[in-house]
Amino acid sequence: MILEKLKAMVKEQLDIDVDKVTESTDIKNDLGLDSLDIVEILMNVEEEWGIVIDDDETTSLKTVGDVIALIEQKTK
Amino acid sequence: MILFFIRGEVGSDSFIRYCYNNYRNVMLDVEELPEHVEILREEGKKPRFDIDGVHFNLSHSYGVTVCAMSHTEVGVDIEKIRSVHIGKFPFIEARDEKEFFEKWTERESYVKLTGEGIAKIKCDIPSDAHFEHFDVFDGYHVAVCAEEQNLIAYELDPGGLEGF
Repeated sequence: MILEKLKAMVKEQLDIDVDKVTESTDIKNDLGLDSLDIVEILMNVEEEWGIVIDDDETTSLKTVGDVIALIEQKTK
Repeated sequence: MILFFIRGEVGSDSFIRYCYNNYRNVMLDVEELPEHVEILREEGKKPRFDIDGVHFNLSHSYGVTVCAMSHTEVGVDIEKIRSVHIGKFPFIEARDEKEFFEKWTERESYVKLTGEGIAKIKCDIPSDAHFEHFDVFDGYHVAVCAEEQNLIAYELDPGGLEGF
């Protein structure tokens, strides 16, 4: 399941508590990530799912759910 | 320009209002600013005040938040210096982490000045963009992008946030 895989990825990269992460979790405000963390996560997502996230698509990624929706859309 | 730093978890809007209150007090000899301002947040645009002449930008990293406030447009980025796979970021040439974070914060502060955000992090930075760099709090690097101007920095007490 995409959410579980994302949570494992974030936990491995950042070593933060991901138990409370849900689709409505705000990436910047709830997870407390800085700009480098966010770009790194997106790059890892691209690698893990074999997708390319266009630069313009990153601006609409506010929550974990937004990232999952993008992965689902690109892996159809 | 004034850079306001605060350590600990803070709500963005209350911190911005707290900074504005301090900025207003510092500027009293120079100009009279309204006591209250609204923070406008519109989709696709960087947050701003509902008045002209005062601009701000916020950044946070691992427990430290910084707000840059100025009469000109401004972009700021703070990053905790930590280990990073430099090779994963081919658009940044750096020999070590220190250089990486200097270049990263420079790029990030520029795209925050323009309001375009991380979508444009890989784009070229204009050669006439002006930056100031600082090392703060034992392990953090800050870059500010704005027109060249005087700059002072304060660390604010989280205890003063109440009421904002």
